[in-house]
Amino acid sequence: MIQININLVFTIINLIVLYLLMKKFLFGPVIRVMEQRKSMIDQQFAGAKENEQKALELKDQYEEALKSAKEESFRIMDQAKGEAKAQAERIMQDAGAQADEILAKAREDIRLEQEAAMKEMEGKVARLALDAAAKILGEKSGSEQDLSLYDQFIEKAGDPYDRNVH
Amino acid sequence: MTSLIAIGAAIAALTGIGAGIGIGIATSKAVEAIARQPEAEGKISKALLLGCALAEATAIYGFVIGLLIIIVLG
Amino acid sequence: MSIKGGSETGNLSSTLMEELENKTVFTIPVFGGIPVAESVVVTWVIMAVLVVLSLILVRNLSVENPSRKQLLLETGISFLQNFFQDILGEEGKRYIPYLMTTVIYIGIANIAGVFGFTPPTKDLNVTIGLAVMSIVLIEYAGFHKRGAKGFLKSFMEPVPIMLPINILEIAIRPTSLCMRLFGNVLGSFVVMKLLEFICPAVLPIPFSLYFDVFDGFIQAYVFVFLTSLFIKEAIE
Repeated sequence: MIQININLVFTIINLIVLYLLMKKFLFGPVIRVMEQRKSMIDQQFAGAKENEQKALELKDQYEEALKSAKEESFRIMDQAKGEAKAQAERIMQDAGAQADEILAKAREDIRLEQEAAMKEMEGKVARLALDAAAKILGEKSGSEQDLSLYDQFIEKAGDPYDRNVH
Repeated sequence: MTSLIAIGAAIAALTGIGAGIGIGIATSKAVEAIARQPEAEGKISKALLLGCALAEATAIYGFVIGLLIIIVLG
Repeated sequence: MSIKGGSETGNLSSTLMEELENKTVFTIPVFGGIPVAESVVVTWVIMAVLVVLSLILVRNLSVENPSRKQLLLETGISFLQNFFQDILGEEGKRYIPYLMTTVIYIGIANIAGVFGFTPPTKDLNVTIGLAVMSIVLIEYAGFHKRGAKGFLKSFMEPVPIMLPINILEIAIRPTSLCMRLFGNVLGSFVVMKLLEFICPAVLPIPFSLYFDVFDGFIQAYVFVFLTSLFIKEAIE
């Protein structure tokens, strides 16, 4: 029962062979697969992180774009407002100018008409004066009477155009 | 002669006393430790197992020597 | 050879002795005949079973979607790996496959009695072989880590006066390892045989569970645990 013989050598050889076989057929493949899975999971984690980073960047970009778009729209609106204001002012100015022009023209017309009427009236007054003078001359002659009559007439008429008569 | 051999083997088997006392003390202490700190049970039982294996070795030596006495002298 | 107390006792002891004897299965007819013991043949059977099992188990290994069988296998192997990794650390990683092989082999060898084989670890040659391999591995680990000079120097630690004790340790450690394993297996074998003499039917089952299965695994665990502790000590 307690004897040491050649089987000791056999046992050692058996152990070494078993170790090599196990390493080749059991531990090798299983550990390789486990490590592969570990590296795959690590890779996936890294990929997920990268994607997240990218998404964040994209979000930032969008926000930036949105912000600039808002600014742009504000700017455009301001511009439009300014233009509209300017246009309104211009229109108002134009309208004012036109109105002034029309007013001026109307005044001119009135003046011209007045003048024409005045001229006509003057003519009429002169004839009337002449008629009156002729009448007075027919009644009595005398320069004194004549002058006083004229003055009288003028007084009555109240005309400032006495200079023209002189 | 044979009775002397038997007595010798029996004396060799007395090593079991030491191993028994040793394992008993180790286990009682381990139980106390687990009662005090149940969360450390894993570590305690690992150490206990090692201690028991080492304490048991003396009993095993006694057993082997007893066998040797019987076989070689018998 | 044994104590002849009476016909009954004599019968029992002679049968027991016969059981304890390492049988020679066959003899290789060279150099005047090399006897091949039963333990070696059983070891071959265990090796064949292990290789076939691992060939079946590692078939269709998949990284993406492992099957239940593969998960079980991976759980077992990573459990062993973590166990040794905890003791040995990063530097001792290269010794893990050998230790895993040893624990599987001893575990199966110890419970071989359940399947009707004689446990190979009952043969002193096998346990000595295991212990020799262990001490070679331990010393190799120290040699590999420290180099020739550091390895020789490690015998002088912590003080030079410890030199004889350190040299003795080379012999004591494997002796202790092999005797523990051998004694346990032989002891449980003897107890089981005695029980079978008394009552061959139901009684041996619970004892078989303790002596063959529980004690077998515990001894396999202790063997590799101590070996890895010694390796750790050598590479520290």
